[in-house]
Amino acid sequence: MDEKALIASAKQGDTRAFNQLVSHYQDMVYNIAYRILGDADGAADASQDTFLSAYQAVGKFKGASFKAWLLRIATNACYDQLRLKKRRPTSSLEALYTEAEPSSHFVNGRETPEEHALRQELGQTIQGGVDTLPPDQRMTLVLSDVQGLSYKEIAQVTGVSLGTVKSRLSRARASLRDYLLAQGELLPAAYRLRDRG
Amino acid sequence: MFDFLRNRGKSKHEWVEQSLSAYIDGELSAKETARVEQHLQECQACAESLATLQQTVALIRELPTVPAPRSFAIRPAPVRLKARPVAPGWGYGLLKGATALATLLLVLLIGGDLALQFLGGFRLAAPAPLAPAAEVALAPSPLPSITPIEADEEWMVGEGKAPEMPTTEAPPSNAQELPPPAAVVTETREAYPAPPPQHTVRPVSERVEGAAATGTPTSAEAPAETPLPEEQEIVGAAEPTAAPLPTATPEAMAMADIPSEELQARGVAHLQAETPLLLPLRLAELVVFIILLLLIPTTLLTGWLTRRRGL
Repeated sequence: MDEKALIASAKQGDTRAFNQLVSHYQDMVYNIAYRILGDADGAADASQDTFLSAYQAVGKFKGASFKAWLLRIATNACYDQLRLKKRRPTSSLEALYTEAEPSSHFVNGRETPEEHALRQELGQTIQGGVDTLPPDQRMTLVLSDVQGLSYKEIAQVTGVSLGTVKSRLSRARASLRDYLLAQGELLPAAYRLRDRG
Repeated sequence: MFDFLRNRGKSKHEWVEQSLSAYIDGELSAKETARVEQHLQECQACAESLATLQQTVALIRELPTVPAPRSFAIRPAPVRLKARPVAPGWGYGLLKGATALATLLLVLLIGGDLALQFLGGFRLAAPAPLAPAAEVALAPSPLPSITPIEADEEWMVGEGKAPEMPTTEAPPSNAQELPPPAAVVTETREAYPAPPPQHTVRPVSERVEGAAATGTPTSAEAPAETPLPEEQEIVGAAEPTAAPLPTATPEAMAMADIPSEELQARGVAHLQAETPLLLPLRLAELVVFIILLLLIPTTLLTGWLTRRRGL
């Protein structure tokens, strides 16, 4: 896929070209939104808003990295969803996990049902820890450890300095580690941090 | 770059602890990395912290990617509903006004027609029988004004409004035949008020000209059948309000015991010929008028509610 050509076509109003970009990035955008929001419905809304906003603003795109530009729109959409969620808290944390489809999140053909259940429980615990983080730290953590962006890319996406990214990420990881340690009794023995260490 | 300035106030332990995250990611400079590694060898707590932090990062990175549940593609041709051509304001207002005017005219037309039919009908009922009366009056044979006393039934005339016809000219034979007027009344109909003796008794077949047939006292006393329009056609009735009731026709006929073919031919047959034709039309007209009267407030109420809700 020639991304530059697609972007050029999309800037000319070629919806088909833009949709090729959408199909290429929609899993990434949705996954990030899901990890930031911890809510499948909210993630879908944020993703839809992201691509709609991108489609409307693609004509003004002048940056070098379409991915960073798209992720910036996505993080803004997630901020909006978080604000919306804060105003209208509709579901509890437990409900969020039951609403999600964990079976599709932890698909591994070699896993036994017990391992699958343990992994599912671990994923819920980690997501619960992510949800306790402040939005800035949460986004930095997700962009770094879930999406695998470099500090520079994160700084580009979030519009902050490298030092801010570094400190946010450090605080986010430390908080999450403390959360997981506090939840140690709930974690399966195989995943307990101290047992592993 | 200037982290060392910010970290000047921190102890080496604190600085290393805060730099472990970047150390894991390899985001520290070579000098910073060497400093961290040196401290890790000296500080067991920082080494343990690094281990737990690495495990935490590993756990997060192990989280599987959640695929998009559906496509978020933009519709190729977003359906944009074209705005319906809005009718010009003046045209719409003109149509509304024309409709309202047409409705008003229809209501007035039907209402006026009905009013003339039912309300005005009573007032004009007196002149209505005039036509056959005139015919009869002009007829030579059956109307010798007073003299022929063929009918059995008697007719009462108002007291003070006695006709100019001389009561004394009343045939004595009639008076003899009916000495007490009360008796006559009992013969004809019991409810019929007995005429006072001084009243002239006249046959029904005769047309009383200028007679105040509608003498209120008699109408009050007498039943509804007393004014018999078909039979007693009063020329020049003084009070048309007390016009004869058409419904009394058959009863009066039966009461009067006058099977005279003339009456049926003139009056009764005349009305009977009109009634079957007009009655259904009048009823339909009345129904339409009622529907219109119901629709108008309904329309106004609906419009008001619509405007109130801002629809």
